[in-house]
Amino acid sequence: MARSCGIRLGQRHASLVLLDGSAKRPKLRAHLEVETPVGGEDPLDALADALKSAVRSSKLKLADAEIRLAIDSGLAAFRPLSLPFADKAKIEEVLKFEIESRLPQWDIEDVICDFHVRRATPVESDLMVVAVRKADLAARIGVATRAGLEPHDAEIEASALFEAARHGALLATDAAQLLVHVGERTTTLVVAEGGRLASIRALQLDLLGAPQDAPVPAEGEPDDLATAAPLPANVAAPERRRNVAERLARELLRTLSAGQREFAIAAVYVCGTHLPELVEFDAQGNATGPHAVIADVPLAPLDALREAAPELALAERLRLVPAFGAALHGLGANGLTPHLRREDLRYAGKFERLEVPLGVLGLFLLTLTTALYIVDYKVVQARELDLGAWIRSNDNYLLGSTTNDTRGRLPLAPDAIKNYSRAIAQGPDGDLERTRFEQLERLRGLIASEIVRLENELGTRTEIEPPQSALEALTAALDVIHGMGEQLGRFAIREVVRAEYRPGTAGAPDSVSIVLNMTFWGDLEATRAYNDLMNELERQPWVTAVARRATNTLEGGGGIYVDGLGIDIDTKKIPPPSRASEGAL
Amino acid sequence: MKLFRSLNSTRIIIIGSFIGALTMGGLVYAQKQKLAELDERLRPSGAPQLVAELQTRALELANLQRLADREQFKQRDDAEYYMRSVASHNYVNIGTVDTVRSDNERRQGAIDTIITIKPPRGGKNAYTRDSISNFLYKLEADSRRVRVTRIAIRPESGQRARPHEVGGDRWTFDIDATIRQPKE
Repeated sequence: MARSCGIRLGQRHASLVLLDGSAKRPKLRAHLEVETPVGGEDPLDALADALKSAVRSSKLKLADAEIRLAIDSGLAAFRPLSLPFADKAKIEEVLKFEIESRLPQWDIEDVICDFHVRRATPVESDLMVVAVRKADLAARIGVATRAGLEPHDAEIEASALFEAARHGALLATDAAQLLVHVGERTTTLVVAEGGRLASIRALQLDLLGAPQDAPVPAEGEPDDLATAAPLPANVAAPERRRNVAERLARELLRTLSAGQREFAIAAVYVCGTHLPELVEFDAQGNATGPHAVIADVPLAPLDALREAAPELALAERLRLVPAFGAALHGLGANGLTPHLRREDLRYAGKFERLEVPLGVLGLFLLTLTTALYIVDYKVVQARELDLGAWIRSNDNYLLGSTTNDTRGRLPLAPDAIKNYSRAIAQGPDGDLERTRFEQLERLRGLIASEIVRLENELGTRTEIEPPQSALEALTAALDVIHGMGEQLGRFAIREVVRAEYRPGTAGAPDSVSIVLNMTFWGDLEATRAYNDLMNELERQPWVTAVARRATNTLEGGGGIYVDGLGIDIDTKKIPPPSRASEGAL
Repeated sequence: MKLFRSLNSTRIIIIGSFIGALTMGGLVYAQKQKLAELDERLRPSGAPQLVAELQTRALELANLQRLADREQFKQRDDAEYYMRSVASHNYVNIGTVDTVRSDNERRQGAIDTIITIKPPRGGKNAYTRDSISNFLYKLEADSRRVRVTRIAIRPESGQRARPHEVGGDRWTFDIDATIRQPKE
């Protein structure tokens, strides 16, 4: 639900109204008033402190409320202005230029100008321009801000008064009304005709006798548009109130009797400070007092809060009218659309205040990330070149280099390997689907596939251990015999009975069993040679067993022979042959 | 629409720069990942090791190519034909041989195809030691798959000398050549 807080800031008095609901059916949720004594410290400082402590003690939650400020009408100058167009944007463009000559007392650059459309046709507009010195407005905004109530927009009491009367259905479309707000220093008179704003006056009628800083009206301004001259400050309070009432009555009479109006003023509605010397209202709103009727027009209370806050006393409701009108603007009421916080006093929300730092931060982050990207890109390029060097070096190793006139280690490489290696050595474009490292892996895969293909072709790709070679075992045994040379004397291998592979069993590994028939010539030398051979064979690490057999004397003597000499060999234990002892062919 | 109405140059810069920074941040992150991967690849355990392994495999392949060039008995060839062709080789000069083929599962999961090779029955059956030894050598040297698993070398039949006698150095043989293959 929309919430709106209206604040009326006078010279020594401030009121606050918190509404929620809609502009048509607002509900008063809270209100407060503060007043500072005459004399002493700066009245605005005192007002700020008083407002702040009042808000704090009342524990008002205003974080989500639209805050509107209504300032003393006496701070403003009002000028009518006619322009030959009604477009709001165009009016905004020319407003200051058009009004500058009408505000000779101020430098136009020191002034905030707002306007209200009194009448408008497509080709002409009749405006009421409101001009306030920036310093005055900034000081009032500062008061509210110090109290923790920074206003989203600001206006003068007169527009708030008009909006409140409009809400209270006091503005008849077939009559004129005079709206009066009696302030502690300034009395505001607003004339509405046919439901529209007609004129505004701010009368310097000081009830308190405080120092004044009101603008000096321009010379030659029409009476009903200029501010009235202030009362002398050295008059005693009761006398001052009587004087104020008398002067106000005279001003009302002058206003009521002024001509050039479409409708005659049918009612005078009064609100603000209670001034019984002028008029007094009972609970039903009946007027009594010395000036209850002026020029046959009865004075009536401007009781705009009647429906919104019936529980409040009439006098209290009448004091809250300007704050109520400002709060109505916060809820979206648009009888008038005041907008004084503009130019360099424009309201800036939290995000707007962060815009510049955020923009700078965003640009900084963008610059930083872009710089990081460029630096990293360069480093990545350098790393890619390094990987490329490995690939080119590998290509030279495999296939050779025409530049260096070197031969490769894989001269018979299949086309798939050759083409791929050459392609990726040219650059990354050789295989766009892979990174440089993946290209190397792919090349390894191609070579591995070719190895598998060749192993399959050769039939060597098996995990099964091949049988031990009887030829290898026999050659190893014969090599021992050959190596003994003269030590064996004269001998003969009469028969290789068998050299046979024996598959291993659970307890014994694969082996080759050799059985020889041999003859050794000589007497004692034959037996010694046989024993030496047995001993030499037994010393070999790859001989697993030697079956010594009984020897027989050769027929006629002169030597011995042995049949079935057994030698078991594990060929896996035979050291690899040297080149010199490799095959005979 | 309200969003677009409230856009001003500062807000456009904020939105644009933050979107740009986020995009560039993503690209930088991806680039950093790529850089980290490249650094990892260039460590000694990365590309250098891969290239070394690749070159080792290339040498292995070159060796296999040489073996394949020399291999006389390829898997698709007939084993007995291979044995006979070796026996007929110039350096062997054994000529015709009798072969008997048998299969034996001596090792679990493997089939040993055993070719028993003998001189032809009724034909020439005496050979020099050179012929027999060259025959045995070439059977294994020309094929990585063949192992000579049984050898018996006896003096030529009819020329059997007694232990104290010196024979005529003519020999006959009876051998087994085995080809071990995984069981299908």
